[in-house]
Amino acid sequence: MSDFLSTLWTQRYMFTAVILFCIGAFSLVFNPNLIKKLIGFDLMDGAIYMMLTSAGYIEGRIAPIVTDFSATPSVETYINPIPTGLVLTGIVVSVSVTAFALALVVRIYKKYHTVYLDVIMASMKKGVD
Amino acid sequence: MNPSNRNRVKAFFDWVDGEEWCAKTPDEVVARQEKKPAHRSSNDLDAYRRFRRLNQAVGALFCITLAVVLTMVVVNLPLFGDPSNPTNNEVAARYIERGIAETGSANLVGGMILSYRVFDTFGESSVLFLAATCVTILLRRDRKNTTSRDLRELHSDGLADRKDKDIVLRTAVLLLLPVSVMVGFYVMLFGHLSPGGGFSGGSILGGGMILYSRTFGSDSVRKFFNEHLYHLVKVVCLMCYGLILIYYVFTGSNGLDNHIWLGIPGNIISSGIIMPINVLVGFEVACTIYAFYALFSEGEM
Repeated sequence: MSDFLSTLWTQRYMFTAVILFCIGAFSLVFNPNLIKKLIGFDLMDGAIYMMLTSAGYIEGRIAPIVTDFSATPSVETYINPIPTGLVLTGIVVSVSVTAFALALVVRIYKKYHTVYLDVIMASMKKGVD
Repeated sequence: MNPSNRNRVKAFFDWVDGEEWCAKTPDEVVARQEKKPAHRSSNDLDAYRRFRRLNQAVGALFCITLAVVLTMVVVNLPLFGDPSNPTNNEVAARYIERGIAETGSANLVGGMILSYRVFDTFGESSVLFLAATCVTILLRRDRKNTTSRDLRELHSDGLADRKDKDIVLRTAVLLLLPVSVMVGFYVMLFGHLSPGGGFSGGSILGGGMILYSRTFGSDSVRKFFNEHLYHLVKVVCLMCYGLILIYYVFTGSNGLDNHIWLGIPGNIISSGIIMPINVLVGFEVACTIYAFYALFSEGEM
C-alpha cells in the first residue's frame, strides 16, 4: 500500500490530470447545461496537456532554450522538447474548437432561449421549431 | 443554515447557472419565441428530468470507475522525471543536438514546431482560420438573421454604443495599451530566442485590442481595424505562411539547396524561416482573437 502511495506521489502530475479528466468527462456527458458541457471539455483538454508536459519532463534538466552557443547542446542538459511542442499545437486547436462550439451555443440560445439540453429536447418534441 | 441564507445560496447558484436568462420549461420557450408554433402537445419535461437524475447517478458511477482505472494506468506508466523513459528517445536527442545547426533557433521548441514539424503547425493555423470563418458565418449579424428582439437586447445591454466614461479605466487602459502592444511584438519577434512565439504574441496583441475596444467603444477600433482589413490580414498572412512552407518542404524533400540564410544563432535576425512565420502567425492570431471578441459581443467587426 505504501509502495502504491509513493508511486502515486511520484506520478502526482499525471494523477491530477486523471482527476481533472474525470471531472471534465462527467460534466461534458452528464450536465444538461451546454456551457458547462464546454467548460468540462476544456477541463479535459487541460488535463491532457498536463499529462503530456509531465511526460516530457526530466528531473534536474532545464527548458530547451539554448543560451550558450559556443558548444553543441548536449542531451543531458535539456528536457524533452517534443511533448511541449505537441501541447503548443493542441492549445490552439482547443481554442478554435471552443470558439466554434460557443458560437453554436449562441445560435441554439437564439432559437430556444435556453441552454438547458433537457428543455431543448422537450421543446423539440413539442414541435417548437 | 437558516432559510434566508439558503435562498441566497440558491440565488447564487441560479446566477452561476444562468437561470434568469434561460427558459426553464417548453412553455416558456414558446412564450419567448416570436413565431408561435402551430400545434402543441402535453408537457413531457418531467420525463426528461427523471431521465436526467438517473443519468447523473449512472454518470457518477461511470466517472468513478474511469478515475480508478486511469489511476491504475498512471501508477504503471513510466515514472515522472526519469531520463530513461521511452519518450526520451533518439528523436528528442536529434532535435536537441542538431536543432541549432539545422534551424538556427535558440528556442528548440520553436525551432522544432516551425521547421521540423512546420507542416503540422500550418495545419493548426488552418484550423484557427477555419474556426474564425465558421464563427463569422454563425454569428455575423445581417438583415436575414437579426430579429427586432436581438436589436433591442443589444441596445439595452449598451453594447451597440458602449463608451465607458470612467476616468480611472480610461487612464489605466491608456497606460496598459502601449505596454501590451510592445510585449506582444516582443514575444512575436523574439520567438526564436526566448519562450514565446507567434501564437502567444498574437494573443497578447489581440488582448490589447479587446481592452481598447471595451473601453473606447468598437467604433474607435473600427478607425484602424475594420472588417476589410481583418479579412486581408487573415488571408494574406496564411497565404505567405503557406508559400514559405511550400518552398521549404519542396526543397527539403527533394534534397535541394534551399538558400535560406540561417544567420548567427542568438541574433535577432537569424533562424531562417522561423522569425517571419512567427510574425505572420502572430498577426493572424491577433486578428482572430479580436474577431472572436467582436463577433460574440456585437455580431460585427
